[in-house]
Amino acid sequence: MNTLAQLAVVYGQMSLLLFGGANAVIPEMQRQVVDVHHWMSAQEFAGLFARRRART
Amino acid sequence: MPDPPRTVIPRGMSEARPDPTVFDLFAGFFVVGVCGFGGVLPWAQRMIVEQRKWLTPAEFTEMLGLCQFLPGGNIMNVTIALGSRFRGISGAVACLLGLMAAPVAIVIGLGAVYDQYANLPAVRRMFVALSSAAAALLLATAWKIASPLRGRPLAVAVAACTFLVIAVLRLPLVAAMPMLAVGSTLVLWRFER
Repeated sequence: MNTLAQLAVVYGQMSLLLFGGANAVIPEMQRQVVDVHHWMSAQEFAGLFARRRART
Repeated sequence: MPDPPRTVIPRGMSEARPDPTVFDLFAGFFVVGVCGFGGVLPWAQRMIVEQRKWLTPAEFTEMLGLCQFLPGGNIMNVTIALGSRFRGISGAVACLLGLMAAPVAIVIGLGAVYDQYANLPAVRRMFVALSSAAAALLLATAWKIASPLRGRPLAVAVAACTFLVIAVLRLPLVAAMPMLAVGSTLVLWRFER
């Protein structure tokens, strides 16, 4: 499966599990992105999360 | 033969039923997307209810209630529900695109800039600091949410169990969520009054 399709499947699944706030799926997102699919390192994920927070 | 009774239109309502075009819907949510850094909902409420008067406050609350109950991002659900109410599928698409257009462009732009400078030591140190702060903010939020559980040992046990399953065992959320939802409901219902 190509990466775009994988992204759609992974995030579609998370969207279905997302009740309430987006923070509830952050651990699952980290698990999928870092541990399962190795799209980025844990450090990169933390940096990305920090940048999202910085917009607040 | 008497005339059929006329329905009385309340003053100030219904005389001009809101009838936004697809472009109006896009434009309204585009502005919300531009303004709504870190929390779009208050801006969306202001635009929909106060400025454009597409919904009454009661209608908005009702729609938001439905959207919070459904899975997915709340504000995404609101855009789709509101768009399809006025203009069907094309309205829903217009609202969603309007809301997303500016933030997506800004985030992709910032990402491109970041990639240029990511390897500078100073930039990297800055992101270590930012990451720590972001993690601490999340912890602080969790503490605030959990503090009403004090004095309810079973609820604390459920929270601890959830933490163990997600953070330590790292089970997939698809498996963990139904288990935890059903399990915790049963436990609290059975043993706590």
